[in-house]
Amino acid sequence: MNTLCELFSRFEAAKEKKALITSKEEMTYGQLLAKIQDADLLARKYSCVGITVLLVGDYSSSTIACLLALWRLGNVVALCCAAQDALVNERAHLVQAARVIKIGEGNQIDIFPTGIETSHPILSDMNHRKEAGFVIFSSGSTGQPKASIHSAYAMLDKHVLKKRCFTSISFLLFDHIGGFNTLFYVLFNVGKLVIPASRSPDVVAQAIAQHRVETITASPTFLNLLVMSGALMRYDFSSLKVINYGTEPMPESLLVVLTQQLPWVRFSQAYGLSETGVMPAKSVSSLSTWITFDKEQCNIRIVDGLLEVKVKTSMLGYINASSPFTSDGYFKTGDAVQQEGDRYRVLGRQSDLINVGGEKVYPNEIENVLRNMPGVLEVAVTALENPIMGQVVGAAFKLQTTEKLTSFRRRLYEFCHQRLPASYIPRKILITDALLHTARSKKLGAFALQSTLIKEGEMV
Amino acid sequence: MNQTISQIIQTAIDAQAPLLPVPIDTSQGEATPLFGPGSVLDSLGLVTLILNIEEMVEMQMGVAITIVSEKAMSAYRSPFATIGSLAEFITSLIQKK
Repeated sequence: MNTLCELFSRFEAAKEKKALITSKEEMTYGQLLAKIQDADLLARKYSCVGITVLLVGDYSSSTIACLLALWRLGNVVALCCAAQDALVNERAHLVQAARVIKIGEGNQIDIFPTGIETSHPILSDMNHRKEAGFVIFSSGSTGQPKASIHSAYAMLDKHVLKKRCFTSISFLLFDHIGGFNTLFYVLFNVGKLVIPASRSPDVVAQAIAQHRVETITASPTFLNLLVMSGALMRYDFSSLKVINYGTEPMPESLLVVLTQQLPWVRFSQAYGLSETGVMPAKSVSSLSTWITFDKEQCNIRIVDGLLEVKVKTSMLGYINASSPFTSDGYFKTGDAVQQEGDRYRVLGRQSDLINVGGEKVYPNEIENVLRNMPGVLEVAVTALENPIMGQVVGAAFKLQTTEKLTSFRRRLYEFCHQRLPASYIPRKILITDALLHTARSKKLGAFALQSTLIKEGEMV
Repeated sequence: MNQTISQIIQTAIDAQAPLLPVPIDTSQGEATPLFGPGSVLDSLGLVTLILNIEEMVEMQMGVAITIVSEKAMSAYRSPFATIGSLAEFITSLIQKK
């Protein structure tokens, strides 16, 4: 029996159990099976068999049913949460999708032929062999996102081994590799997936309390918002057992606060990229930012301080970029890591590294310190080009109360003097009311932040 | 204009005080050494001073200037030598705008 059949038989055996709770619907595994059957018929009607499809929609019973039906019919499914027509059209051309399937607000499924021919060698080969696959777009901080092609079964097989059945909340979106991982963990263990109406701290916190959620996977930026907004104190989090965090480095100071406020929760770092899938890794302890990899399931090595990985869930290749794999099959992650025996610590993206006259530092090392300054709500650090030092540190701050830049600067320098080496101290400072994170609760990328620091400077 | 620029330079010098081993002694007025022999600023200190001055000139005088350029760095007499030379250089940059 292949993995997908195994998954459907688990649904069959748990027909009465709740599978999905959104703000609009609730669904059992039995109802989900029926929906998969409907989606299967509709997909066949539009000849969605052994082709490449762009599936547009966030978590809903129809999106999940469509995805599973399309895989059963041997399609490659590209995932897209954005509903803007221009973006959908651009993505459809990027992935050479022969059909676009849109899941509407009312869960209706609309299928549109695009007339686009699929000619990419990996995609057309998979389509020819009716191999189920998926395409994930990396968040690419500049320019066009990279589209990575994955085998569906490589990802599904990872989840077959039965684990604990949880009520989980899906914080990361459907088209994110981490969101995808949460979805299939829940489905394979016939748990319950709760989808909050939005990703604001209060809405997510309320959903956790109301549905007695046991696990959540979120970004450190979002966890910081939970703390800062006071939502952590206002809602009942006693049902929570595990908080997985990932997508960006975790500030140690935030981990200390979280473990103090939620002492019964186990905190674990997830590590993965759109290109590698979620890696078999876990935190050494709740209070540690060090992780260990399951070496039976993946190969790890460090070359020039950067992590390279070889894992079954790795993508087959990019659609719109050359192969990033080494000749012996390792993926170059671009993440700088520290190693101590079997333990690793992710320092940050090499591309985010700030080089101040030869002194190199990652933004999060500086942010970890600045976040502890009284009155600071949020801080984001980036490199700024400088004709004397090559680069200097720039920092944007969101403060609790209004404060003049002149007095804040003095206070900042007094605070930094004994805490940071001179080269790490921000030399360009901006106080802003604007959000320092993206709509997906991830810290602003270096490119966006540099633009803000430069643009704001000109606007004043 | 000269007085505004002098004030801006003075404010930028004051802002940096917490980062310096000893504050810059400005008792010599315009002859106060900034960068080079007899000064307490290192290159990072100079960068900070310049960024801060650029920011204040723009905020208070509505002119965006770039103080560090190839010309400034290769000038026979460094514009960063003293408070006076820096004020003079900034004035010339603003006048060219």
